[in-house]
Amino acid sequence: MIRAAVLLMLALPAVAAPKKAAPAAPPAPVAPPIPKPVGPDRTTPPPVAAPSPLHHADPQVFDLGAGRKLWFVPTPGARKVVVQVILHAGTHELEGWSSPQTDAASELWGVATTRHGASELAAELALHDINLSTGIGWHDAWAEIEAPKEELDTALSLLDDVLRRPVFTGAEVARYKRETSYFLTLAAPNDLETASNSALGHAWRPADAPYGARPDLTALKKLKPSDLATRHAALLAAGPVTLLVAGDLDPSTAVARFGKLVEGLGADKAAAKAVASPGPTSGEHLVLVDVPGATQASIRLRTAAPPLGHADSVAFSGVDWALGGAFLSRLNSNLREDKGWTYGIRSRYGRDVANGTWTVSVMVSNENVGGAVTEIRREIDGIAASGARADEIDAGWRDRVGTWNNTFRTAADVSGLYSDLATTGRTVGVRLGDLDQFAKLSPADTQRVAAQWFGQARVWVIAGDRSVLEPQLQSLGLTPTVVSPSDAVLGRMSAVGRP
Amino acid sequence: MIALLAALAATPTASAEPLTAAQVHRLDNGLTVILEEDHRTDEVALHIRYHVGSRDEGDGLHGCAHLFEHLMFEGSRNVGNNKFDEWLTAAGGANNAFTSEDQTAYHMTFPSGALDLALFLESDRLGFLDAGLDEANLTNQKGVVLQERNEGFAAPHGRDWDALVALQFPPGHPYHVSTIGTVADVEGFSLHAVQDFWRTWYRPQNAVLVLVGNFKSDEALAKVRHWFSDMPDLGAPPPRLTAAAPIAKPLNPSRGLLTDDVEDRTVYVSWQAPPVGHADLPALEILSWVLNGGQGTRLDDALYYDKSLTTDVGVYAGPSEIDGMFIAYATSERTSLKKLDAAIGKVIAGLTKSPPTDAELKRAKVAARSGLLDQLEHPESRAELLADCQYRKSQANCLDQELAALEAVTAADVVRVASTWLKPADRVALSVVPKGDEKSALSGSTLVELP
Repeated sequence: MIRAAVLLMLALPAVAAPKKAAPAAPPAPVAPPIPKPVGPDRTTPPPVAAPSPLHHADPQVFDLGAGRKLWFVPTPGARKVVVQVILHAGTHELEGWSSPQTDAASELWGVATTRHGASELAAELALHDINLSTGIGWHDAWAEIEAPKEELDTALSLLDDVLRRPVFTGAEVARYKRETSYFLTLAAPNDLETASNSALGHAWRPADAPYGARPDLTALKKLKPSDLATRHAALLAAGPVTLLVAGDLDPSTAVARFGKLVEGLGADKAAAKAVASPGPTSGEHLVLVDVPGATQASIRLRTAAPPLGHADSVAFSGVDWALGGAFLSRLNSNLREDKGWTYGIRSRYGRDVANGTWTVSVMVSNENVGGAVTEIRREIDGIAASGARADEIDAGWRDRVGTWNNTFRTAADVSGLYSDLATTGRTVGVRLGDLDQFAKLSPADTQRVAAQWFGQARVWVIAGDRSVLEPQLQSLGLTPTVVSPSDAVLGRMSAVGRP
Repeated sequence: MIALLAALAATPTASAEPLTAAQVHRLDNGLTVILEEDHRTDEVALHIRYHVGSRDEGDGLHGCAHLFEHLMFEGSRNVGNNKFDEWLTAAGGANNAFTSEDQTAYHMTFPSGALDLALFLESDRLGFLDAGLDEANLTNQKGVVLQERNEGFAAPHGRDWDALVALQFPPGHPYHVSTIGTVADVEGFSLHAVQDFWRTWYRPQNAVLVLVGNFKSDEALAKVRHWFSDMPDLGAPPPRLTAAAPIAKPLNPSRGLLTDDVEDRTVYVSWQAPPVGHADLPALEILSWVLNGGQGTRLDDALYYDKSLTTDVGVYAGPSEIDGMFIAYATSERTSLKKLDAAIGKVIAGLTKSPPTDAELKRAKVAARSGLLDQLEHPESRAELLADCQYRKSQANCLDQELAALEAVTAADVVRVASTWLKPADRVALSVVPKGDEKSALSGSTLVELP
C-alpha cells in the first residue's frame, strides 16, 4: 500500500475586528496556492504481503510394468522438453564401495554409440540443439535429453542409442585416464580450495566406510573399455526405472511416444537407497593441508546434520539459512560486512535419506585465519544458545517459497524438482508439508536442533601455509594433523575422531 | 507449374513472433525505462544499468567503479546500513551486481508483491546515496574489495586476465588496467573522490531501468514514475574517457610472460577486435563457434580431441565499447607453448584455404541461437539482454535484428573477418608458466608488470 502524504497549505486572510463604519467590500477571493509536487513517502519501506506456496500437481504416473514407471509433468508454454531415464541403482549396486570403473563409465557414457562415433554424435546433438547428459551416482544413474519440441523425435532416437548401445572407445578411455591422473596429481593439489575440499571428505569418513573410497591411481591405470561396457550393461538391469517427461505435450500420447524408450530395461525390485555412514561423533578436530608460501587460506568446517526426512531436518534448514544461506546471513555479515575479511562465506546443508552434513566454506588472508575460526565458532555457539530469530526464519521461508513457486518456468526447472522427488521417494505433498513446517518454526525449534547437532563432532580442514597458520590455531586449542596437498587429494590420510 | 507458383505466392509467409516486445519509456528526469511482461511465474526481475565502468576511472582511481558498486549496498538516506539486502531478502528477493570496463549493472529478482519495495530501494540509492557514503563504510568495503582481489589472484590462473589486458591494451588505454584496480589506488580512495564519482555518473540520464516479469505494464510504469519522481534531471554525464589514438600495430611488446603458482603452461593469443556495434561482430561470433564449439569443431579437434595436445582449449570473443578482444588459448602440462601457439595459428590460417562448410555454419548458428533463446527464458537474463540492446543500439527490441544478422553470416564473411582482424602480425601472445620455468615461455616474451 502506498501511503501518500499530501500537504495543503492554505493562506488565510488576516481577520480584523469590525469597526462601526460602512461595511467594507468583501475581500477579493485568494486563489489557493498550487500544491507543491511531493515525492514518494520514503519514511518506511513499502510492506510486502507474504507469498503463498503454489500447489504443484503430482506427476501423472503410468505403470509400464516390470518395475518401470512413466512420470509425465505437463509444462505449458515450455519451449523445450526434458526426457530423463532414471535407473534406481548405481555404483554401489554394481561393485560395492570402490568405484574406479563406474566413475569412468559415468564420465564416458554418452560420448559415442554404435551408430555415431564421438565426433558425429557431438555434431548431431549440436545441429539439433539437443543437450545430452548422463551420470552414474552411488545409488542411481540417469540419461537425459533436453531439446526443443520440434527436435524431440531426433532427441529420443539419440537417447535410445546412448541408453542401449553406448561405445566406450580406447581413445576416450585413454584421455579419461590421462586427465584424471593429471587432475589428481597436479591440478587439484595446486589449488587451495580443491585440496581443502578433498581433505574434508577424507577426514570425515575412513577409506573402508561407505562413500569413503579414495582415488585409486593403480586401478585407474588398468582401466579398459571392456570394464566400462560390462558395468553399463549390468546397470541397465540393476534396478527399477522411472522415465520422467516434462514439456508442453499431450499426456494422452505419452505412453505410446515414450514408453518404448525403456522397454526391456530395469528390474522389478526395490530402488536402491543410501546407507548410513556417519562422521566422527565427538570432539573438535583439525587437518592442516600445508601449502608453503600460500598467502591465503581455505577454511572448511563440517558437522553432522539431520538426514532427509528426519524430524529435525526442516528446523535445521532454518539454522543453515540463518547462519550461511544468504548474503546477510550471520557468517557473511560478520566476516565480510563487519570485518572485511572475505569476499564471501557460505554454508551448505547436504543430505540424503541416510546421511546429513553441514559445511562452511571461506577463504581469508593468513593473518585472519585465527580470527575467522573464532568468529565461526562464535556464530555457531550463538545460534545453539539462542536459535534463529523470527525474522530470519520468515526470510528463509520466503526464499524457499519463491524458489518453489518459480518451478514451472522451464522444462529443466520442472525436471529438476520431479527427478529429485523420484530419486528420494518423496512427493509434492511432502515438500509442501516441509514448507508449511518451515513457516511454523519457532526460534526455540532452531535452538534445540542447533544445540543437538552442533554439539557433536566438528571437523576443520584448513589449507594454507603451516608455518604461519599453526601458531594461530594452536592458540585456539586446535592441534592439527598435517598432510601434504598430494596426500589430501589422494586420501593418503586417516579420518579423524575414530578410535 | 503456374498454379503451384501461384499457390506459393499466395501463401503468406508466417511471421515469427518477435523475440522481445518490450515497451520503452523515458521519464522527465531522463531515466529510460523498459518493461516486458512475463506471467509464467510470479517473479519479477529488475536490472538497472549505469553507463560507467573502469574505463572512466583514470590514473589514481583504478578500481573506483567496482568499489563504488560495493558501496551502493551500504545504505542511503532512507535505507540504513545493510538494510538494502535485509529488506529485500525479507521479501523473498535476491540481488547482485557486476562492473565491467564499460558499464555497471545492479540486478534483483523478487516476488511480484515486492515491486514497490524494489523500486523504493533502487531509487533511494540512485538519488540519495550520500547518507551511506561515509568513512566507516568506505574503509570496510576497501577491505572487502582488496580481499576479493587477493582471493582471485591466489587461485591458479587468477591473474591471467589482468596480464592479458595489460598486454593487449597499452598504458594509457582505458582498458589497460582491469576492473579490479590496483592496491595502491583502492587503498588511497578518499571519501570525497567517491562522492564525486556518484554525483558524476549516477544520474537518471545515465541509467536504464528494466523490469521483466509478472506485472501489468501500465501499473509498473506508474510505480516507476512514482518512486523516481523526486529525482531531478541532473543532465547528461560528462564525456567518457576513450583511447587517445587507435592502438598502433604491431603492438610492442607483442609477447608477454607471467609466472604464477601453476602446474601447467598456458598460451593466450589475442587480437584487437571490433567494438560494440561493428558490422563484423556477427561473423566473428560465428567464427568463435566454428573454432570452439565442442568435439567436431576446428580448434577443439586440432588441439584436444584429435591430437590431445592440451587439457584445455578455448576461444573468447568479447566486444567492448572502445575496442574488443578475440582470444584463443590453450593449456598443457606437457606440450610446449611453441607447439600450442603454432597449432592455434595453423587452424586460423587454415580458414582461408578451407572455409567453413555448410554444416559448420549451421552448427555455429544453432549454438548462437540456442544460447540466446535459453537466456530469454529467464527473466533475469532477459532483462540484461534488453538493457544490452538499449545500450548497443538505443533500441531495446534489437535481438531479432541481431539474430537475423547472425543467420545471414556466410562462409565468405567468416573468412573475411578472420583475414581482417586475426592477422598474425597484429596479435599478442601471453605465456603463463610456473615460477622458475620462464624458459618455457614463447621466445622473446617480456615480463608483464601488473599495475
